[in-house]
Amino acid sequence: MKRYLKTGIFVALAIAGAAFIVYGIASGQAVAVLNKAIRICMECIGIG
Amino acid sequence: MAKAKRVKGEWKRLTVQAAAFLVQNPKLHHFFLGTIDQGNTKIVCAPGLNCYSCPAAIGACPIGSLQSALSAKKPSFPFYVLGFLLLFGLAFGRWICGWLCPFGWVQDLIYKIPFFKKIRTFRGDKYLRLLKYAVLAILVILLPLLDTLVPYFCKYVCPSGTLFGAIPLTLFNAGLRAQIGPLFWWKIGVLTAILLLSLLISRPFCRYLCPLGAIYGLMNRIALLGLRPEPDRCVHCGKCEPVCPMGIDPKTQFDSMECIRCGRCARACPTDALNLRFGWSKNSQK
Repeated sequence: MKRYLKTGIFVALAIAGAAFIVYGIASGQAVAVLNKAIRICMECIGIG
Repeated sequence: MAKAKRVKGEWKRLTVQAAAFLVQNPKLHHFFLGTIDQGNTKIVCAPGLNCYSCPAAIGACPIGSLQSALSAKKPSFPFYVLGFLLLFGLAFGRWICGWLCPFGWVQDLIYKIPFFKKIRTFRGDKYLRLLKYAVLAILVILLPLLDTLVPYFCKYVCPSGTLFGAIPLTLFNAGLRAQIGPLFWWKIGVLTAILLLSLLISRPFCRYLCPLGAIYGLMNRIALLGLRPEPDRCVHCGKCEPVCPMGIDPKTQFDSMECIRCGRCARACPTDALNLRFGWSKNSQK
């Protein structure tokens, strides 16, 4: 892969990643993740 | 078939893996209480496959969170989790698998048990590796989208959740133990099969099933941390290939989606022709 192409893809994805996190926080997705994570996931432990 | 090859300095990586487990799971007292940590730190996704139902975990499992968003009553594009996956993957690629993932560490320790002849590769190995992309597409994305509130991968496959979540929680929590049914024993069976396979094959779960490894693998080629070859220094001694836990040839496949950046090949190289480091080198721009 050519260097400029690699750099372009990297920068675009890094900006998208950061923007996704910011948007996720603003839209309440971060809180949804927390709410799921602080309760025992019954499916994960083979009971749900 | 061959014995597991020893590489100098491997204890350093095993120490980092143990430390990474403790950093991601520091609330050890929850193991004995039969409860899980409920701190606000769980708003942040962990980099590795670290079940949020592991009693000591202080982060959220990215694969569990991804399925949770997709299988919600009102599914949404999982911006938040994908953001973490992108940033982790772009910075480290599958180095996370090799150095930070708790279940990868367990498989590495089991593979070190001697007495069993080790299988480096076999017919169909190359194609079986594609299975993890099917697991990602079908069990993590498609089925949770179609079937509300069912995280298929966590429910039917994830051995990390069984080992670090199900076993300690059912041991120390009588209420949960009373609810054990066929699904629990199915998951114990999956975990047992993977652990037994780990005696013979290095990291079978990472090679064939892990959806998180599949995601990070897609970013291996552009990740900042990677295996950087210096072909001028290579004397073609062939010492790097047999020590690779993922069964690839590091000389030619240094950018492979399978490489977990464990650095065993770099440590085995007598001429420093392979290096694990940050930054892209000219030699890797092929």
